[in-house]
Amino acid sequence: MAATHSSQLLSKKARIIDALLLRELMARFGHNNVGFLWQIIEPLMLMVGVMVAWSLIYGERNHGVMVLPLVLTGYSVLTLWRHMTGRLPNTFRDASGLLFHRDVKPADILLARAILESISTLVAFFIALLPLQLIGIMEPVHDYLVLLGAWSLMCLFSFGSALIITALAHFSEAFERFVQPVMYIILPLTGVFYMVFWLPPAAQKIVLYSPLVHISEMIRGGFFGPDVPTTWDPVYVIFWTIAVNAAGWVLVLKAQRHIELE
Amino acid sequence: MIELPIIAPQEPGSQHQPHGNGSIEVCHIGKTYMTPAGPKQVLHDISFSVQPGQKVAVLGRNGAGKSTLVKIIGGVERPSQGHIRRTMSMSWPLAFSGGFEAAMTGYDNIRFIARVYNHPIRELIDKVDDFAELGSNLLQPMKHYSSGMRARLAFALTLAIDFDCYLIDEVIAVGDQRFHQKCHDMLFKERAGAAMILVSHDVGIIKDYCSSALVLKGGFGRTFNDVDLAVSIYASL
Repeated sequence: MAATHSSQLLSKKARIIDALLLRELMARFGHNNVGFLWQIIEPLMLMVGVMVAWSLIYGERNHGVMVLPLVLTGYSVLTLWRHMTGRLPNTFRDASGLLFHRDVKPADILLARAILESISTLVAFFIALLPLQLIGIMEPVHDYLVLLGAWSLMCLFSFGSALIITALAHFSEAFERFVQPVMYIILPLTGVFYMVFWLPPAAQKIVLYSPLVHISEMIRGGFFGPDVPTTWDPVYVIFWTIAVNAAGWVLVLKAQRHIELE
Repeated sequence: MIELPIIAPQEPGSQHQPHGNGSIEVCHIGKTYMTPAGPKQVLHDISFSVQPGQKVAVLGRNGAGKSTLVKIIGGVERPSQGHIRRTMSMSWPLAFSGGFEAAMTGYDNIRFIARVYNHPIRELIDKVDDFAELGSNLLQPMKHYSSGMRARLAFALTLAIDFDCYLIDEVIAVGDQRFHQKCHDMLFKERAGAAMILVSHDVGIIKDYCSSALVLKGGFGRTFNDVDLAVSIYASL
């Protein structure tokens, strides 16, 4: 009995989130032209642009590491991080009119947006990767399990972080003003612009407190394999992921009780 | 598809078979907002219930707490005290267009509602198209709609889904004269078996259709089973 009830609830949730996902896509890109492909083309343009720029600046290799995969892995992580933490916090403001449909909860909208960002950035990653591999400019991925594992952790970690920001921005306008500059200042702690082994040991110790650095290293570990030294601890990342998601959900559920319309 | 019988015009207030067998119980609802000038209580201990087929009016001057009550009954905001038990299905506020996405076409907005309420998409589009008479405008993004078109779509969409209870907030008069009449017929003839919570200043409609009324003043409320009495008290507020 309880099982059928919760499975009904689950299928209802899935239906709502599916509806919100399609709505989000339609609202952003409509039916025209290439439509939702923009969701993929946007990050793709950034990745390709930076790959070209870095290749011109550093040549084929930087500190002995292939530049193209370095940029591709780094910028896909960065794009996901920026989209999650940048787009989710507007949800409560954008979507308050939807809440008269009682089955639609603010948390569902957050989840739908997060799924959309996660999927589209991953697709963009592969769209950039495959042609470069086919024409032989880029070596094949060494270990997909590690790469996709790191990617999944990245999705979950940035989602949890975005939940915290969303809820706190809802409670405090002052906090909302701090978000953008702080996110910019902590960019070096995302680990996307460098490899940890390039750094002096003292700096390594500091940046390795950041779970994002572990994730970036892990993705590169999956991509390059043992040829390039990487430092990452999945347990440390999982610990952080659970922590930010637990805190994020508590805060968001608290915040969604205080949504006031108009 | 079964052909629906054409419903003959009926005297106002005639009894259809009420549908649904739950109720909506509003129990000791209070609402306090935090304002820069300190907490402000806008609703105090409001209680009433809606049985299947029952039409309840909510009367009150501007600022009496009607729209806050609608938001709480509609489930958008939570009450600070008390609770609501909904055992029958209830609509979103009739003709409420706040949930529409302006960048999406009329069709896409209908599809979204169909998915959320688990209603067959094709059937909902046909029903809404038939009622709202927007034709090829449904292919346009809604930002190009006039407010009248938007209201017609919103109205048609709310009434196309079969709810046990409709929440009606002020907007019975939508669109031109002809559409207005159509809405009236749809609401009070075809949907005559449904329960309704009617928040309105239109004393005529309330007297014709409602069997009880909640009169709000300054956030306090009282329920009357004698609607004529409620209306005369409201007139004297």
